[in-house]
Amino acid sequence: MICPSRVGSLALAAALTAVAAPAAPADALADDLERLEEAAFQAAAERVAPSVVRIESVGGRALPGAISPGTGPTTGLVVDPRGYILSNAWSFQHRPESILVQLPDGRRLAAERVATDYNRMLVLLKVDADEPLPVPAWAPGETLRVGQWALAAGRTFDAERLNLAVGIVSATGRIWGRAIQTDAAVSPNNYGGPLVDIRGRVMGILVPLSPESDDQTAGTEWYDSGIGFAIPADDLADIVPRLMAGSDLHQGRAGVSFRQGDLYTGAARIAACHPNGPAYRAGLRAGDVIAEVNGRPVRRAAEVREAISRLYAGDEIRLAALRDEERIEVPLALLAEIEAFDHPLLGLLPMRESPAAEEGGVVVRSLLPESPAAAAGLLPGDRLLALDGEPVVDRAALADVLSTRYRPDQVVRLDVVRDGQTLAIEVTLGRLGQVVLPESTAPARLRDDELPLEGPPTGLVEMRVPELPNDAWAFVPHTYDPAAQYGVLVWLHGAGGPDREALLDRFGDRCARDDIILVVPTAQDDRWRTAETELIERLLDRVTTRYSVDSARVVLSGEQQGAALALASLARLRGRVAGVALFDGMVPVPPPQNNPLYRVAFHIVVSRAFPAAAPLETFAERLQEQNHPVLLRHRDEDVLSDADAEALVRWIDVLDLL
Amino acid sequence: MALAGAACLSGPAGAAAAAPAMLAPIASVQPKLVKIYGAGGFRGLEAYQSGMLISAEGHVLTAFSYVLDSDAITVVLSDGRRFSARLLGADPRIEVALLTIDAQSLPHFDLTAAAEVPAGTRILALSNLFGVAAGNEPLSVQQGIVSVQTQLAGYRGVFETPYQGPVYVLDAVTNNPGAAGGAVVTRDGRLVGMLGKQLRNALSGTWLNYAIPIGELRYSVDEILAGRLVVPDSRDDASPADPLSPDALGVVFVPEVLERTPPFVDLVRPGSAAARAGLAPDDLVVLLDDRLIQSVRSLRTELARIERIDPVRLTVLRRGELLELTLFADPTREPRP
Repeated sequence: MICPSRVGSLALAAALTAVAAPAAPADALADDLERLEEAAFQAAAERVAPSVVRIESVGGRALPGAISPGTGPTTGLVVDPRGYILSNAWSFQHRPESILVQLPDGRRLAAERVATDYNRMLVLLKVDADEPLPVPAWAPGETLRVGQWALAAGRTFDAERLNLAVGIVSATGRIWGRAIQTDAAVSPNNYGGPLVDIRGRVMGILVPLSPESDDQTAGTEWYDSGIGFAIPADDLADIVPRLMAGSDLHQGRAGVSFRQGDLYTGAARIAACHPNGPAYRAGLRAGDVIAEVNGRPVRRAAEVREAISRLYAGDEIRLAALRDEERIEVPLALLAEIEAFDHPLLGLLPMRESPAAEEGGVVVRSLLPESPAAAAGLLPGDRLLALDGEPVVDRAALADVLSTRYRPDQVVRLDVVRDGQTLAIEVTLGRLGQVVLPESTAPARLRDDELPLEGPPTGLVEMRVPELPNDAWAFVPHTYDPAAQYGVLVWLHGAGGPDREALLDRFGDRCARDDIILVVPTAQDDRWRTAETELIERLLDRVTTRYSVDSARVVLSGEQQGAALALASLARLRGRVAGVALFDGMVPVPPPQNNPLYRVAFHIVVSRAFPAAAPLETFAERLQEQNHPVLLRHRDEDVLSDADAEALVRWIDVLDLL
Repeated sequence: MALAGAACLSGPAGAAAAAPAMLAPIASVQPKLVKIYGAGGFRGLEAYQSGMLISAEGHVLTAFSYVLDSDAITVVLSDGRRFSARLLGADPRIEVALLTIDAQSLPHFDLTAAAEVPAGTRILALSNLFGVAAGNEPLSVQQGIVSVQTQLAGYRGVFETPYQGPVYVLDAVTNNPGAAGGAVVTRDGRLVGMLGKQLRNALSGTWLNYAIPIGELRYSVDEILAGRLVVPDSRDDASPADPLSPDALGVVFVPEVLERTPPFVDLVRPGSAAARAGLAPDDLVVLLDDRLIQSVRSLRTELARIERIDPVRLTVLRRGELLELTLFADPTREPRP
């Protein structure tokens, strides 16, 4: 790009404007820079183009979702001259009957799926070409700089030409260390294609990813948003040979959980150690503080999560942990799936009023029939003072200790006060996943006839969140007593919006009887959208700050399409929702994993005429396999009856069982 | 290089030089763009769009849409002047319309000087997306590149639009409510295309950001200006008098149990076109001519677009190999071996 005449004119201009600001030459340089950049984009695209192929698929399952995979063409990148092509797993999750790879010269070849990497959403394909296929140049990881040019290339519109998007590298080490982030437009138009630098060297492969979810469709909602991800080329060097071996790769799990809020603060203290997980079997326990992963010191839970989520099931790691002053170092092999957790259970319902402070403990409200607690001889009215010598603070703390420190079939000692006497009773813990909920129980609290004169509003209460467009109201029992604790029932309506009169008629008296606040938002556009999970969170925030809420009895209930929002909100509100009720719901998502820290019960109602009854019943089975407590009901009519409301409210009333 | 040199020698001084030269074209392009207001105003149907002046006498090029379906179309110039506009004519085949306003000596684009650009070219898109600009406010400017040039005709059933010609796909999110009729220009201000209406990919559910090359619009614009535009029946949409079907070819596909049942051949009738061409049970049809076939349903639809007497070329997958077979439902048209 050396041009003597221009250099000459620059010199001349500079000489003429020696005193004034040299604006004109700077402008010319800027103009020239533009052209040079444009030429560089095109040259970079040309360099990588021979390795970028177009991929089409035939057949496969139809999948629900706003953006559906597999229907349009997708992109792949040659990673080995013998015909290995890497693409994104999202575009193949419909399991196509056949896959066709179209080379840049237009030839189509049948491709086989070799293996899938579910941790990084990659898929490796193989074609038999007559000649070696061209492999691209790779950009070494250490050359990556945030702010440098990044070109996202796809081959989806035309077989003969790339489609390009230009942006910069926005960040490295994203999605728990797995991805490069770019602001170039990334979408189904270029998933599976390369992210290249200005020299046309491949920095990574574009895939949909989300930091919040490992779900297979996560991240597609961010298409063309300025947030796109690519799996770094350096990591591909390790991954591709593993995929060539033909076995699928899954994210490795150690089976340790940290508290959601503790990820970036404080030490990496294990909040729960999954009893069926590798860490527990290697001897780690809740309360241990992880100090090293594979010899590298870690200070925060987030660092542990990042170090482990980069790895695959089958990988062996060494964890060093501190227990009090003692240092424990254990080797363990990560697992893809950990056998479902089952919450240990005493089998009793607690009273909800806290006993006078000097007494402490939890009073037994009633016993589940044939439960471990009943078998051990506990009686209603017993006051639980200590569990294996540790004082019982309140019912929430007792539930937490049971789930995080104990396993089913373990024998525990309860110190119990009965008629002024202290007894020690041994109980063999049962399983929450196998519990049969009782039909009726004793009152959960003694009612005070004298209600305070002042308090938050009761009856029909406006609940609109000021910044959001949705209508929302709540029904708070007129007998509201700030000294008691109230369950929350969020009702997410189905087709036609919420019928206020019908809801009040079904739930009004029952909510008053069982201390429940009913919250009813309205979808903005008749149909619920996933983004409205924010509304649910904000509504819960509002109710919780204004009223006395029992977190063990917060329930999201969704009718038809509202069911999908209830499930989506559950993912967002882990630890704040104790139960989910689904009335004739479409359930596109896989059931949530059972987790020692977050106990969730399910109430599923299927109408005789509901067309998607089978998938919903399968969903209930999957939940049971995960050891979630599930109540499955069938009904004749698809309208909310008195029986439906009664069953739901009774179920909410026993959600705080221990 | 010559251009750069010229810019140097006649380098702007003073106030103009305060802004980088590369952005100067925006100021020269803005006066050629207009805001258009018309019918709409309901949910999801905005009552505005964008347009560009293409003559000194007030001809405005824009997208043909429901916004123009009004007796009261208003055009607002970049200096804020408002004019009642008249719909001079439209070509619904390419969704382009021409308005006129009663004004003279207006800055305008010269359609004959429009540029054709390769993929990777940096562009600016100017439009009144979401109606952000009002009165004498300039239109919103977005930057991006031409991602690829492609033919919409290749996406039957994917993009619902009568326009089937080439488009510039852009890597910026340009095609929003109100953007249709906006201009795409190079960074040095040369007109490249007109932003089209919003277009959703019916298969993937994603939105397409695109502009129609000016060269594709020029003929219709000239015809409208000359008062000659007659919209003939589109021949593309004419369905065949005697369409093909699997039955006519003598092939039976596996039963359609799924929405996307892959087109596996179940049986081939002896002596049929399929048998003569060598189609065999268990073959999976993947292409009809050059069109990807993803299900039994889409194969039926595509066959129905073909005249029975015409040959049809099928590509099938048989034991990992792709084979190309030509089927003649009418044996008299089959070439003799």
